[in-house]
Amino acid sequence: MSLQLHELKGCAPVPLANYLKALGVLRLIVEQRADPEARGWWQYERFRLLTKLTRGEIEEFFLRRYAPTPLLSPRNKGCGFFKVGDPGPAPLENSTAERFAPFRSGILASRRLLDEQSDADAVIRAIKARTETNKAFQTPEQRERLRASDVFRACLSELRAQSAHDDLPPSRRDELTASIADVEGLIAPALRPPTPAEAKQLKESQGYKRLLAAADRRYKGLKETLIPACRKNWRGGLAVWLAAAVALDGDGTPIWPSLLGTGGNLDFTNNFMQRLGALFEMTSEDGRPLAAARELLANALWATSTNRLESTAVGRFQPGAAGGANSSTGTMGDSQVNPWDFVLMMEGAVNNLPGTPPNFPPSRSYTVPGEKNSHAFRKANRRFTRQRRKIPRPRHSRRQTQSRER
Amino acid sequence: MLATRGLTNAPDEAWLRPPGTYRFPDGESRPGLRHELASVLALFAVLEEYAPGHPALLGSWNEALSHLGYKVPEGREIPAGCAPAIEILECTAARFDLIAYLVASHHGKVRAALHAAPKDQDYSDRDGRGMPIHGVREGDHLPSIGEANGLFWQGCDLTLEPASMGLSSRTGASWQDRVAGLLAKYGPSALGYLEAVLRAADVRASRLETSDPALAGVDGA
Repeated sequence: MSLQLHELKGCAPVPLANYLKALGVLRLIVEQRADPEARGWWQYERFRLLTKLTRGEIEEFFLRRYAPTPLLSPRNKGCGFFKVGDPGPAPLENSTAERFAPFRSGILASRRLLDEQSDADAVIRAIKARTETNKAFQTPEQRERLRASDVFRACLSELRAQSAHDDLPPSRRDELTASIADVEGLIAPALRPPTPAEAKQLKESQGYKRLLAAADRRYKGLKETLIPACRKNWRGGLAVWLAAAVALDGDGTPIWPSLLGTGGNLDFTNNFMQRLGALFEMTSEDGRPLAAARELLANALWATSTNRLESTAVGRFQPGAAGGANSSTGTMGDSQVNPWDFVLMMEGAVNNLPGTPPNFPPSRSYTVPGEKNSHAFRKANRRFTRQRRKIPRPRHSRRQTQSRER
Repeated sequence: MLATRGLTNAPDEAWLRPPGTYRFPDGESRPGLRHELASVLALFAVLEEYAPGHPALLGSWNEALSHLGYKVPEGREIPAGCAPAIEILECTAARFDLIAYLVASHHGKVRAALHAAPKDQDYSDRDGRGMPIHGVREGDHLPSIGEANGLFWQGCDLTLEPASMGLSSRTGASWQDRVAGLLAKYGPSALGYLEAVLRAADVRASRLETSDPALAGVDGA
């Protein structure tokens, strides 16, 4: 089939949202096999797409076949995993269409990792609830959770093993016996909350402190390892998104790339999921497009006119659409966003992979060239400092020079 | 040590550095030069010189290039006896990509991406030819090898075009594009196995004390 050259007027190189949108269009068409040989470039402030697909086929691909990349950030509360029925993940989680299958399995994988963390948090709460003097006192469910937890059983076994040693001094044995009683007491049925004096005594007991410290350690460990665990367990689109959203340095410390940042108050992933909900019928068997989706897609790709833009959060990549003073007729205007713009922009942001090269020394933070802290930046900065302070450039030692001459 | 230096980097004291290491004939120094990258770029240079329309170079992109306003040029005639060039021209596009990749990767330093190493960033570009990649710069000349046993190599100018993103009007698909195709075709394990075979063969050949018969009679061989 002969190639067709399309001019995507809706994908100018500025603002950044449109630049990323063009990258998203090209990536999806190639990766999702609509045309693996498609090529794209900018020319005369427009994105040009060279593909065997016709204009109609490109539109049909996005409307009927496009399977959204699962962009999920479970570490961010704003992603929607900590709220029942969140408008972001909930509709996708309950969808049945094949095109949303990667998203569904991504949400499941995230929940699996978060469940362990939530459980560790609940165990800490169950321990602390035993010292509450009011209606927040430990419930029977919390007691059962604590009894069944690995932390509780491990702590108790350790104390019992230590107390079983024959050569223990009597004072140490009494101490361990008291600690065992403290820990066992945390799951004993109680008819009433403790008095403030009893609660204080319990908080200061060795057994209580020891169990709480172990539970805290487990929670912190899980929290710190969430991103490495995602990196280890996630595959496919989830892994690609993670690589774009966060880089891990040699010590496993997360570094947030400039493009996406930490998500902040406006969680990109939740917004992405909500915008998908504005384009597709999530409850339908085939995830068919909603009535406005075709017109909005034409606006996003070919810059045709539309009056179906949404008033919603736009993010920092398209500041001109954020609304505000003098943005429309009248003194103030709402934001005007095409959901396709946001969806395709996020799909394009996945192309940015600021990963740390495997053989890069961990002491050097890896950043985009030209950015502060990049190798080139530091080199230029050293040169500038030398010039300003008139420090001579370091010379080779005499011994080195002699060795070179030899 | 391995974590900070990388698996492919030997300790500084592991190798002898005789005078003139990384030194070019014009006197400039290119630390971190990878000869295997120059070898791969020479393969591209052969196609560009004698058969720009070869399917491994621009032949597969005729239509795309015409949309971009480029025309595939005619190649020069191959000099008689230049057998290495003839062998390269006889490759299919898929075979050329595999050969190029294995040549590049046989020391484990130049593999899926052609990008500057930290030592390249210390280079100071004085003549406007741009920064090096693994010590190789745009327009570097690979010298000729005189006739030996009826074979000769007449030298070529190297271009870093394959390192650029996208379709090149000189060298066709980018290096990453070609490697992505190989990964899709062979998978990382099979490709790694082939790399290992060539690596082992290279080590064995280096242990031999016999001179290369193809270079017999060449000065210094």
